[in-house]
Amino acid sequence: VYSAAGGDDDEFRKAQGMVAEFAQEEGRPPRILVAKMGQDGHDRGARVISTAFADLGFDVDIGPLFQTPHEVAQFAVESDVHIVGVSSLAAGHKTLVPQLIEELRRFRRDDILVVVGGVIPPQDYEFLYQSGVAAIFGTGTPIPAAAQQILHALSRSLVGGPS
Amino acid sequence: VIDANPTALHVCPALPSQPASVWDIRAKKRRETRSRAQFIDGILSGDRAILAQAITLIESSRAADRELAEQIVEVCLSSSGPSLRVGITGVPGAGKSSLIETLGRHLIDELDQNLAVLAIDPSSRLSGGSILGDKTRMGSLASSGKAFIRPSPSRGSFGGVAQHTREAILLCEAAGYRNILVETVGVGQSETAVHDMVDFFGLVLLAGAGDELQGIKRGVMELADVVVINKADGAGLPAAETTVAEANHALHFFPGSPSGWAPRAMACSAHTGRGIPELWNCALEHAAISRANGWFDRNRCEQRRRWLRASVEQGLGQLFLAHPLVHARKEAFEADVVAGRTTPFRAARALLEIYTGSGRNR
Repeated sequence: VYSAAGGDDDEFRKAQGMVAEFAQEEGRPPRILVAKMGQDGHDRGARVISTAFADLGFDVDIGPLFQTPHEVAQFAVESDVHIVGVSSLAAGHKTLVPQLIEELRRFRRDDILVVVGGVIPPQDYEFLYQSGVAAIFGTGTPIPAAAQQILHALSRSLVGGPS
Repeated sequence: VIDANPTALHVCPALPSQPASVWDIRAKKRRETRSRAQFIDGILSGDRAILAQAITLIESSRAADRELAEQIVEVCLSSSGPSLRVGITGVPGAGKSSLIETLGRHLIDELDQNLAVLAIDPSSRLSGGSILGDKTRMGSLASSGKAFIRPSPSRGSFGGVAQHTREAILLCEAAGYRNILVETVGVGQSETAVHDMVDFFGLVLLAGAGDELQGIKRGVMELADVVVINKADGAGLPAAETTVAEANHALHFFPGSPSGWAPRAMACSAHTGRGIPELWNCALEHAAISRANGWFDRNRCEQRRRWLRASVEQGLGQLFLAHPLVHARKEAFEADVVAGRTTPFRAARALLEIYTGSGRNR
């Protein structure tokens, strides 16, 4: 839906190619859960991201609003996603995101990558990276670029991938 | 890299390149490859994470995953306990997911039972991707420890998920789930496919869809054990009750089911919970009747026969496409058909002759 508005066609197609390649090797397309946690009802961004990633060829699980980190982790585990993308627009990231990573660890699925997008003050980036976040996408990140970065990280963590 | 004015309230792009060390740390956490025994032990002990990964394995299109998947399914086939498999279908927006949410809460809160939900959403033919939104409407079920919900993309046009859904049902049963709810994609041929996998089949409709009742839904309707008119709440209640009466009337015209069950229509509201206990009682009553007269087991046997046939058909399709001579000449035939030099029918026959002809020579 949003692919027409993407503008950067080459980057978009490159990302699509990477998705197809990934699907070939992994036996299924990359699967991402787009999650909203805590008292944060701003889900427009999450929907834009979801449709754009589906256009790129991802399988996209959309989580309910107002979830706890435990609920998001259980969702991610049951759907066996590769990535959880946390959309944060209400400043809950510094508590909720580390809790999510801890919950994933409790399910013994801390191999699931956690990325964060939305309104994240730059001075919090280092804290989130230290907590185990794989990537942070602030406002203005072109979606194909974000997808490419995620796929790069992912293809290195796969079974049989180059170490 | 971080700019002087540390606020997120202006355009704040991602760091141009992430520190390499960050990627390396994550990259080291390679996913564990599980052995056959780990998968089986995990499933049988009800480990959510391993059950989920096993379903991924059976859905995988990678040839290497196939054999392990089949071994696991084989073990699960013999260790699945008694279960009730319920299929839910209906037009898009009829409220299938919400109905399952409310029904699931009833099962957990009132009857103290567990359930697994397998929800199928359509894949895009264009991008191959999908939006899996069913579970979004099952918020309270999703966070329950007694429910396992797995959304799956329908993927491709070969009905592949239909086959894998069957396998997923078996895995969930082996993991100890006693009630399996399968939610289909909106309308399409998949409805009848899911009918081949379940014991009890519910069709969810909305009030005021009378034309559909009489027309296109007839094919599905004659398979339905129950027709649920959802959204029977608030201002919609009178219309829902009228539609129930109409549907009950229509159901009378179908020949009796071999299960000995007389299909019926009922009004429900996923929103208020109206009719939900009755709906589940309906499923239980159906199971009791058909177990007593032997149809329940006969149906499951018959379903296995159809599963075998479907698997053979699918396998044949794959063998055909993988055949070297077919593969080599397929494009030429396609080009001829596109250019109008031959008819699709004739080209198909020629390709099939190549396939069977060389098969005999071997």
